[in-house]
Amino acid sequence: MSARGEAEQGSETNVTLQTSDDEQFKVDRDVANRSVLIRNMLEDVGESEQAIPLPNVSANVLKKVLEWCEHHKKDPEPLAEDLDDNRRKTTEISDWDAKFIQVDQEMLFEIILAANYLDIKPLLDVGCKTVANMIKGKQPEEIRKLFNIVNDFTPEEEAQIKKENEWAEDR
Amino acid sequence: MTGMLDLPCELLIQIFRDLGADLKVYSAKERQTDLARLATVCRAFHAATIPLLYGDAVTCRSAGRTYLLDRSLLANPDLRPLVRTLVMKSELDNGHVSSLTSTLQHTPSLESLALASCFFEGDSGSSPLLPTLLSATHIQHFAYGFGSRLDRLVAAQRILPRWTQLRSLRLYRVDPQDLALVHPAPTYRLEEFSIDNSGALLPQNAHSCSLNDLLWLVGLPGALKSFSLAHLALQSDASKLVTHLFEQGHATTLSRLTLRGIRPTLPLVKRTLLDPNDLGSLFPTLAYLELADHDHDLGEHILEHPEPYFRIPTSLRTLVLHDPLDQYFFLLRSLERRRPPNLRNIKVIGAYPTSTHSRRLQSLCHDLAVAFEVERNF
Repeated sequence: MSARGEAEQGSETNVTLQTSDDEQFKVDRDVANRSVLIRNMLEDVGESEQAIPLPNVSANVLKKVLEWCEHHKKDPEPLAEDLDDNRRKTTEISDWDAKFIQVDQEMLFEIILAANYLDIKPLLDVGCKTVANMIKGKQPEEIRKLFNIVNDFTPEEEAQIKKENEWAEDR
Repeated sequence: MTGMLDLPCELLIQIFRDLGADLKVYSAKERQTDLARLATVCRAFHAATIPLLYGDAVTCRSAGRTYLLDRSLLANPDLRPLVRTLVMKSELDNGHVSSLTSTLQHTPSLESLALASCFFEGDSGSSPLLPTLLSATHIQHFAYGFGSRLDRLVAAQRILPRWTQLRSLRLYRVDPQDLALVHPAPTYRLEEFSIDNSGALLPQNAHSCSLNDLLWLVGLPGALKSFSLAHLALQSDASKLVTHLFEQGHATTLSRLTLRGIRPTLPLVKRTLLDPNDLGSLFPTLAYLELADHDHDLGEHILEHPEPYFRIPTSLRTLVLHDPLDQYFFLLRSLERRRPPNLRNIKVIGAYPTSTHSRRLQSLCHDLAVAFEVERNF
């Protein structure tokens, strides 16, 4: 899909988004409205030709996020209970979303940060579940290696934490 | 380069909360193990994991684990208020009652408790656990039983009248016989009540409870949203039971009803069978209904064959019938006459998926946009 290309067809319903690296994207309002942040901004400013600044999102990430929004622009609004962040989401990732999120780690975390900033909860769910699936069943050292994480515990601290949570370990 | 540790703590928590969101392929036990491992990866992971590890259902499956949990809570007072749900399903070990007692004393935020009956084997009156449970009046959700033999609820009949805040009571493999004689009776107002004696070593014609025994457990009337009985011997008509639920003011609150495998001990001639067609008018908000007769062929049934067919309540979203009720209820005829406006799912348990009847039901449900599932039971 091309968010920029499609947007050029009908300017009345278009909005312009400006990324942190000063690139502008013209997109259909339905697509932009997947972001609660943008929807609220549009409601606040009303009809305007001015670009909406998104200082926390770069062009390459926004392009990817808009690809997701375009595909999901006709999805029904989530139910109130689905928006409860404290509940575990039990729905599976759709095939399209699973393919969409097959990106390198840097882009994956950029998408998660952008979805959080733009307040696109279903996309945030897809990203978080994808990372959760990468973690499942792995040993701490494997997780450190996978995500390039430095162990910042002292050996004594690590031993203490292991002892503290020994009741939960499946041996 | 943006990495995992660039995510703020709340996003790490969301990722770890999503661990095992699909529990079909990932058990709660695996999740608990993964969370414990994640806590040792780095400080950021530790901060995000601990509230989940102790805020999830804290589950101990052996006496040793109970001891280790108690040791952690004693050494780390900060962890104690995190524990809200405690599951103690230890079937074989009851040697660490003192650890469990101590754990209960050090979990001030505890709302939900699941307890195996083995903790009360022998003389429950002298168990060190009993005084602690008697004073745990803040418990809102209680699950009890899980043994292979039926528990006579000797300990529970002393505890339950104290727990006025209780909202849900789920009992597994218990014998409520003669509870109606116990004073005082509980004064909680339950939203969810269930007894499931599936799989219990149950002598034939033993342990049947009366309607009043059940009502003793249900507590004060008026708030039940879910009522479920499975594999229980009952000295009463199911129709009387349902009428009592209605008369006690649960008519407008009850949305889930399960009556599965209830064995009536009254002779057939003295039994008034429950007409399923009455359920819709008795409970106008009923959304989930599951029905199974104990043994229809031996005359040990509680349900009447609805005439001319089962009129599916208009509020119903999910209907679960155990074979052969799908045929006795004339489901095909019922669905052909009228599509219940809210019906989303029909499940038939124990039927052959390839039988003509199942296939016709499946085809009709497909046309009506109702999800249809047949589950074999072996």
